[in-house]
Amino acid sequence: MLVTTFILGASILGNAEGDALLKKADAANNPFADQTFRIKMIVREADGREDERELRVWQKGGVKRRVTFLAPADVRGMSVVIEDSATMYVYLPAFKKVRRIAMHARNATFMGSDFTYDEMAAVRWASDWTAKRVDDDDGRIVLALTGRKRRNTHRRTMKVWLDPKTRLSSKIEYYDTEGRLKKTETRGGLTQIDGVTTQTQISMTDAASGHSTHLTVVDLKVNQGLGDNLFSRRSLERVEP
Amino acid sequence: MTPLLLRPLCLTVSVVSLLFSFASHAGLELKLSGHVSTDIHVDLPGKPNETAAWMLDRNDNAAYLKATATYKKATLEADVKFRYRGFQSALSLPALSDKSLLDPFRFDSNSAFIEIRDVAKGLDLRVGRQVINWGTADTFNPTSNLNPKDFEDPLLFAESMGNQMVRADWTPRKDLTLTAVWVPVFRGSLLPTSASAAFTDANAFARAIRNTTDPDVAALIAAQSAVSGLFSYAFTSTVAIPETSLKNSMGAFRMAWKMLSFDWSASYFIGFDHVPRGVSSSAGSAQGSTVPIALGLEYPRKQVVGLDVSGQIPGIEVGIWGEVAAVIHDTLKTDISPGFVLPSGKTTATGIQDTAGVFYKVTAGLDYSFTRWLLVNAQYVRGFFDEFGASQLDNYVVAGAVIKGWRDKLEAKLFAVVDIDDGSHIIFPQLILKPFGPVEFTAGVFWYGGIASSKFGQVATGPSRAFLKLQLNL
Repeated sequence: MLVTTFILGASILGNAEGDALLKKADAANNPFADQTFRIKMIVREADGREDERELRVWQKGGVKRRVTFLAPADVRGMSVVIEDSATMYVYLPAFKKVRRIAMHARNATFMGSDFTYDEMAAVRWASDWTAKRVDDDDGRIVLALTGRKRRNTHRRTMKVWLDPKTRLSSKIEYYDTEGRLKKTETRGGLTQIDGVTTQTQISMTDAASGHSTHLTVVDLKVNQGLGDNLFSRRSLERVEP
Repeated sequence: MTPLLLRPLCLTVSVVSLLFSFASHAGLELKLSGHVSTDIHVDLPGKPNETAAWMLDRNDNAAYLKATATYKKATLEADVKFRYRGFQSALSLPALSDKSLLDPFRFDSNSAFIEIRDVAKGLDLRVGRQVINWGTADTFNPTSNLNPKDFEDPLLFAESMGNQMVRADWTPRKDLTLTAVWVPVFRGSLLPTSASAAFTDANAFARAIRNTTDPDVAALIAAQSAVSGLFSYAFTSTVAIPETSLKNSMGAFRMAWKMLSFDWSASYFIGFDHVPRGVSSSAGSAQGSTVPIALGLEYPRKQVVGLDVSGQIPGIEVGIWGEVAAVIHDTLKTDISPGFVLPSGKTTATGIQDTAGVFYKVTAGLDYSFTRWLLVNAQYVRGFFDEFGASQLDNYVVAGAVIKGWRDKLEAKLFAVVDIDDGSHIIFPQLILKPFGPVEFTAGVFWYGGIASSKFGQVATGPSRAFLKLQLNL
């Protein structure tokens, strides 16, 4: 009940301070003009069994992202391009064809992990969410986020914990439309690249089942001058980007 | 084994050898992938005149390998599928000494090409054996006409087969791509063994000439019906392949762009349809109760002007797409020599199915994910893969649902195709299980329903089947 009240309050009352903090968090979470990296993903069942996946990611600015699946073998070669917050394409090697993916598909599970396509795509929040500073927790700033657009109504609210110094988000809680906690994301593995602090480890845990997904960023390279064409429908039709 | 069978293997081995020879160069990135699979189909009863019920229809064991090597702006890609058929075809004593007949196999290859990116600013080239699928619709793409189709395995729903082509893509700006393709030599689609019934079965014949008004043809059908059961027919067929001249090479252009948040493509194709149609039928003198009939088949010339679009309905996030192909063709007719004098006094009737002109194939559809684990998809289709000519087009609804569970390790799919005009249908449920690592099981049923004269009930579509597939991905 307390949580529901808190959520409803937040959804009505996004405020200037919260929105400003959210923009700072966006800037802190996306300090580079572009990035390339690989992600090693471990999907862990509640009983401890694990499956591994591997992805290669190209990212430009706060929106453009391209993901190519390296493992497991049954999805190897599949690629996804996110051009902007409303346009996503997928290339399926078995069909040798690029298809546009409508926004509804972003709610689907990403490779059987605890992330959705939308959560994997979300790089910046400020354009899609409004925020209110609601609390402090162990020295961290807590923001309550409510979706600005209808597309986020499947996941009405989030709580985000920010480090007051770096503005990096260290914890995110996802709530459903009834205000129930669905998933918790934690971020860590701080490292310095070009004098900038960034995170290389992300975990997502499902509140109901207890299963979780752990991402580790490796081979991170930044500010390489990636072109916009890399993030286009046409680029997916090429054998190599 | 014949040289013909070896051709794709030789081509692919040559390209793969080339890849490995390149591998000694610094900076070369080489990738290998593949799978091993076993595929078993069992024919199910249900169709009129069914003789194959509970027979094993497929007993494949296949190994697939794909290699890509990238060096700077150039990539070579080649694949090969080696397939044991699993059925002995040696039917004579000498043949029992021929391993290729005792244990038949074949090689397939869909890619063996070189791609060079940014030859000039925004210009990419791809030369060699490749597949080019155009169109935004799901599976039913009337604007995609460059590759022949594989109709042999109905579960593949007309998968494209590789063909030798030259392709150039120019992207002058981010949201605009111009593509030109040249296909030097035409090659036809791979037809199922049941396809001969499309030209020999009385129901299929009646369906093919249903638009014909010629009184001689009507009298011929009546005569055929009257003597039904008294005679049997021995068919021979000849397929006229387009001469391998420049004049008969095929080409296509496409312009793809983005407008109003939708993706659009306009295309033009000139060439041949990949499915042959009967152009002549000539009966000889009856030998006892057997009548020899010589069939002549040709691949019809066509030009296709296409337009497709995809996007989503604003506000409700439903994915939508549409695709229309205007097919320009010559007169479609069949010359029939029944071996007796027709009511008009002639000995040959000409069944004109469609005069020269244009017909339209259309696909329009939508999809939506109701939950994280449930995706539904529905399409309206005018004109099935094999239908050619306005009089031959039926209307279809294709609908399906995909349910995912157990972290995408379990997938249940149910798809149905219904011919709105005659009520015949395909029901296609399947279960896909990926229990651990690279192992994948698929089991299901591909069920044809409908009366003998209907689209999916006719003998030519082949029997319904249950299938089981095991695949190990590498």
